Formats: sequence, C-alpha cells, structure tokens
Amino acid sequence: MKRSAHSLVGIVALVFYAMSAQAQSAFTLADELANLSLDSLLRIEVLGASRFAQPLSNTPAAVTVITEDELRRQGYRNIAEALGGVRGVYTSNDRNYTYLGVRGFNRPGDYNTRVLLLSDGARRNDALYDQAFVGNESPIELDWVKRLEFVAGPASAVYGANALFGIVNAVMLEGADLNGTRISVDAGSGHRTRIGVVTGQRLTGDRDWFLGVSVQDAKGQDHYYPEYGSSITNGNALGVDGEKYQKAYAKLRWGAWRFTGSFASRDKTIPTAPFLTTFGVPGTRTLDQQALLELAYEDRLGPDWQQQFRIFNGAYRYNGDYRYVDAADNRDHGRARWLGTDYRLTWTGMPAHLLLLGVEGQWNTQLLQRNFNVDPSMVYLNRDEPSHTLGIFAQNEWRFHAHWLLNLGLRADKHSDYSAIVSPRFALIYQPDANVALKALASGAYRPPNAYERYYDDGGILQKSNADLQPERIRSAELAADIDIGNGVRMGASVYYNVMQNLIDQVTSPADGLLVFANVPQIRSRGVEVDFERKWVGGQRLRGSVSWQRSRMSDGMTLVNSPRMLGKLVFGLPLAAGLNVTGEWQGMSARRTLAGITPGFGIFNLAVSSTRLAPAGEVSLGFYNIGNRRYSDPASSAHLQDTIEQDRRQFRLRWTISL
Amino acid sequence: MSGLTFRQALIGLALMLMSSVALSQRQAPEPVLKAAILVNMLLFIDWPSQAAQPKDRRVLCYLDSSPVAAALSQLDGRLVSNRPLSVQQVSIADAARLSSCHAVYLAPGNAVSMSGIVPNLRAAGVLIVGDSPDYLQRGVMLNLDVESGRVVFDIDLKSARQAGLAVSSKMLRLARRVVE
Repeated sequence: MKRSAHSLVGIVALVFYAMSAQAQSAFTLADELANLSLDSLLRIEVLGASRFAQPLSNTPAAVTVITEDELRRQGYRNIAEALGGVRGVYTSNDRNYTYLGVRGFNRPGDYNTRVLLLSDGARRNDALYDQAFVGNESPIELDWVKRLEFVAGPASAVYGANALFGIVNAVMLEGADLNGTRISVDAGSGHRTRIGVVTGQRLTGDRDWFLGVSVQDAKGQDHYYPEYGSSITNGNALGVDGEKYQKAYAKLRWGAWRFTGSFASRDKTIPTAPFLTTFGVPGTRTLDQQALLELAYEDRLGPDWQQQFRIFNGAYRYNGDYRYVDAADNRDHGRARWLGTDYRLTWTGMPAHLLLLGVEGQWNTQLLQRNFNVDPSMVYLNRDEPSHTLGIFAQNEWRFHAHWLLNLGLRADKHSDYSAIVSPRFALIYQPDANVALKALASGAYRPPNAYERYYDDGGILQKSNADLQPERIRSAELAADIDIGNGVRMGASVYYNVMQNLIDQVTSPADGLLVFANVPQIRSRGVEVDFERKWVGGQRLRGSVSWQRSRMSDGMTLVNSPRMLGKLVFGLPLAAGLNVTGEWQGMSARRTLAGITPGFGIFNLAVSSTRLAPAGEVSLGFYNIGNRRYSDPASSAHLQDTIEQDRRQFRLRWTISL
Repeated sequence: MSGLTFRQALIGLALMLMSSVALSQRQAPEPVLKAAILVNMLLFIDWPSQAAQPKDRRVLCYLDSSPVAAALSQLDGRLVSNRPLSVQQVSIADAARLSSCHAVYLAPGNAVSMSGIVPNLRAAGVLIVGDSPDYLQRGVMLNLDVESGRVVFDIDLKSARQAGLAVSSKMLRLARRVVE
C-alpha cells in the first residue's frame, strides 16, 4: 500500500506538470477581450495575481482555507471529512461521534473540547460537554458552508475558552450566493439516503435570506468485533449502526441586522456496545439535538469606528439509551440552555493601528445531567450546575513599519467557579513584499472543566465525579512562513512547541478503579508542518502537506491517538465537457492506543462529477477508501475494544438540481 | 490484493486525463482586463433621459494617465449599445466637460482630488468607476478589485441611484458586494 501511495504522488505530479506546460501559451488582446460577455470576463484570470484567497498574511496564525469550489467538488460528506485534508489535522471515529485531532492531541474520552467550532463567527460548542460537533452529528451541514477556515494554534486571546488547538470557522452561504434553489439527492453505502435543499435570494432594500434543510436516513453497516467473539452473535453487530438526522438553518439579513436560527437532531444506534452494554442487540443509541438563535448587528459608527453586537440563545439536549438485556436499561440525559451577548468595537482612527475591544458574557442557565435505570427505576444522578462566564478582550494590530506588523491581544475571562484567567497573544509578522509573510507567534489559551467532567457520576458503576478539577492551560510558541512563489504556487511551513498544563484527562482512579477526570502533569509537544499548494490557470489544483510531531507526557511516554506523521494530498482536475475529477490521499503513521498500537495507513478518496449528464444539474459519484484499506482508530475506555475498525470502501452518488 | 488493480486503474485514469485535458480558461494583464470589464459594464447602465450627456455616443472620461486609462484608450471607437465609444482625457478643472461624460474613471492616483468632484459628478448623472480598495466609500459607484486571481466588483447602489442611474439586475447579480 505504501508503494502504491508513492506511485500515486508521482502520477499526480506528472499530470499536473503536463498541464502546466500547456498552460503557458494563453494571452489575449484588448480587442478580443472586448468582444466577450461580462460573465466571461469575470472568469478570466489576472496575469500574475495571487490565486489564493486573501488576506491571510495578516492573520496572527497559520490558516488553511477550503474554498467553496473545493467543498463542492471534493465529495466531502461532513465538516470532519473536509478538515481531514488540512495540514496537522486528523479525525477518528467510534461509530458514535467524530473526534478531531490537532497537532498530536486527540484524547480518548474527550468530546472535541479543545477546538472551537464557529458558524459565521458564532460559538457552536455546547455548554455542557463543550463539544465541537464535526461529523454527521454536526448542526452545520457542509452544503450550507461557503468557505471553511481552520486557524491553527491557541486563540483564547480573542475567542475565550476552548480555543486551545484551533478554531474551525464555517462561513455560511447567503441568499446572494444562490439566488435560487438547489436540491440534492444522495444514495450511498450503508443504505444511506439524504435529501438536502438550499434556497435563498438577495432582495432589494439590502435584504437577503437563506434556508438550508436536510434529512438523512441510513441503515448503517454490519460490523464484526472479535472482542465479542463469545457473544450470542459471535462478535457480529448486525443492523445496529443506523443513523437518522434532520437539520435546518435559516439566515435573514436586513441592512445591518442579521437573524440566524439553527436546529439539528441526530439519532445514532451504536454497534460497539460501549459502557458494557449488551452486544449485538438494538437499543443502545444516542440522540443529540442542538438549537441556536442569534441576532447580530454590524454597523459603521463613523469613519473610524465599526461596531458589532450579538445576542444569542442556545440549547442542547442529549439522550443516551443504554441497553442491558439481563439487567435494567440505563438512561443518560444531558440538558443545557444558555443565553449570551457580545459587543465588539473596532477603531482605525490612529494611523497604522487597528484596535479591537470586546466584551462577552454567557449565562448557562441550565447544565443538567441525569442518569437513571428504567426498570426497576433507580436514579443515580440528577444534578444541575448552572454557571456563567464573562470575558473582556483587546487586540491591537500595529503596522509599525511598511514591512512589519505587530499583533498584541489580551483577554481576561471570569468563570463563576474559578478565578479570572488571562490569555495573551503576541504575533510579529514580517512581510518583505506582498508574497511573503514570516510570523513569530506566542500565545496562551485555557479551558475550564465542563459540567460533565466535574459532576458526571453514574452511581459508582463506571465513572465518578471530581468537583475539584481546575482549568487546563496551553502555552504555545510558533514560527510560521507563508510564501506565494508566483505562477499559482504557494508554500507554508510551521515549527511549534506546545506546553499543556493541568490537562483535564480521563484516568482510572487507583483507589476504586472508576473512571474519573483529573488534572494530569505537564505534556509537551513539538512539531514541524510543511504544506504546498498549486493552482493552474485552467482551474486545476493540488494541495499537499506533511506534518511531524511528538507529544510526551511527564513520564516520557508518547500520547495515545497521537500519530508521529501525517501526510495529505488533495487535487482537483476540471476536464472538458463539464467533467470534474477530484481526489484525496490521507496517510497517518502508527498510533498508540490505550492497550497497544494501531498501525499506520493510507487511504484514497476519489470523486467524479459532471454537469452534462444530468439535465438542470449535476451528478457526482464519490468513492471513499477506494483501496478498501483496513484500518482502526484508538477507542476510549468506555469500550471493551482497544481499537474500532473504520469504514472500508464506500460510495456516494449525488444528483443536484438547480432551479 | 486489490492494490495492483487500484494502481492500474489510477495509471489508466491519469493517461486518460493527460490526453483529454482542455484548457478553456485564459489569463490577461490586469489593466487590459479591467478596461474591457469597465467598457462592458456600460451596457448595463441606463442614464436618465433628460441628462446632459450626448445621445449619439458613449463618452468615457479619465483624469490622468494610468495603466487602466491607457487600456481604455485602446478601446476608443468600439461600439457600445450601438453607439461608438469615445474615450477622452478631461482636466479636473473642466467641470462642464466632466458633466458631459457618461462615466468617469478615477485612477488610484486621484484619491486626493476626488472629494471635490464626486458630488458634482453625481449631480450631473455621471457614473463614477474606479479600481482602488477604498473608493467605494468615497463615492465611486462601481469599484473593481482583484480576488483569488480574478477581477470582481462592488456596487454602491445608493450612490448610483442618487445620480439617477439605473443598474441592471444582471450586474447586481454578478457583483461581489452591493451597498444600498
């Protein structure tokens, strides 16, 4: 497999080389251009201009942007799959949720608490588990996203808690991007069917509306777990991998006002028998429901002042049904409600300075956890621990020299249960010309323990609470370079060093053998990341990255689920006659698991789409893990399995109709 | 196992691609492309019928020489909406001649002097076009920019309406940003 991966790289490089040789001849005269239509003129590329989305060079971090073209063409089915192609990012899955790993960190038993997920700048992590939902469970469908940004590194200096390893920002579609309706119908592996509708319009009077709705139903696939070989089904989990979801997202803009509503519900049957539930029988499942209402106002106050104001109301509901055939069935419920507001003021009145001031408050009015048996009824946990946080932050971007930019940020957060925490950010950016940016970054970020980590207790069966948990903190130093070499080629590189203090980690208590969250000693990681990108005049694109990292605990051990090396290759080839071919290779080195090691692997995904085959639309066919490679992700201690095998070859057929 | 057939399939695919790649898209120097776009945009504007501009031709003016102005001059004499295009250099002091232009192009170098003429141009029903980052805020109605290697444009519809100009909905659809 390793060999075929190498030859794949060679072939892709050869194809692109051949195309670039052809591409040089293009040139046009003024007269020729003047005969073209406005649509055609706007599609012609400016000679010598950067083909990359701007402006990233001022950002005090290393940023990866996935453009709309790539999001649509690449065959990604959810945010996690799109992020899987990003430098230094990897995902794992336990057939319930998808977990995001960044720069060697993906702790088993953690629910994506160290990455902040934003949609149009609004926080989407829930208030009870702090979970960033990125797989099919996400309230954000990839079809509604115009542009996906991953900002690597700590960003608590602006965004507050949870922004320890990075931010995922989904820039959502607006009505003006559609001015019509797009309906897509999918069928894929695991008897998966999905219907999605996006519709929207730009109206006169500076108004705009967008609506996205999607419904999915999947039977799922059959699985075999040798750990349950002596069970009644001989280790076969048959028909217990179903998934259903319904999601909606609406956005209405009227001048400076914007109103957003987002609702999602997902029901997943779990085949892996976590928490010692009975294997191979239906009834163990999780239901996750999210809601967010947001009202935002953005306006210019004067020539030098810009203000932004938001109020939001969120809710999260989790129902876990756990099936024990010879004992009482167990129910696990989580309920969270929160209200929040923030205000940001930007001032550009002083030459060469851009000053940002902000305040933010969030009141978690309900953070309720319940755990109980159904028959005979028995309540183990019924605890509501509301909390609130207040944050105040300032950032100054100072261009003190034509080639130099200094970005200083400072944020103080006060959580109702903890003393105030200050998160700083320092970034010095050197731009000798428009195509080169060299950055030196130092920053700190934090996360207070969430109510689940502090108070969850199932009555002394598997897990106990730890109300004394303290916030965890990360300090990070990074040197980054971003160079637009010209002719559509860009390169980036990063060297970083992270120190994690008081990491909140799930451990087994030596006293009673119960799982408990505890602050563990210092963890250090260092790493190097390199990426390159090329875009050709004809629309062909190639992007690749290699990341190397090493994370060690205080006792010298490497971390669990922390691959030393990651490799990515993403390409797109627009061909004649409306045909598009895209592909992606992802490779990962071996990872430690809780009990052993899971070997490294490489998988290849391919998607072909055509605008000609379908009337009034497009047909696309995506293949995932086309080499049918067998590989597994490390499992958390909730599982008897040490690793969970991942999907073999899969496909998805999609028909999109534009009205 | 499947590795070999997988590789053969890829090689086949690559060969197919290499033989069939058709490059339909092209590149052009920035000023030439911008000039072509500006002239094309005149098709989508309606001037008020009682305006002072001549009816028998389309007059496009610029103040100082610049790369885009030079490229515009090359398009002098072309037919726009069945009327010949006349590209002229006009002095900033010549208010009467400026008012008789259908459109005035303001180059990046006109930043200092533009605040003095924008209100008069707007009152005379003249379309003000430019290609400098902050010109939209300074009264330019159609402003070009380069994004991800392609030319995009923003429209200040309010400013255009104040001048009595009607902008076609097709152009609004193609705009990156419309300010109202």
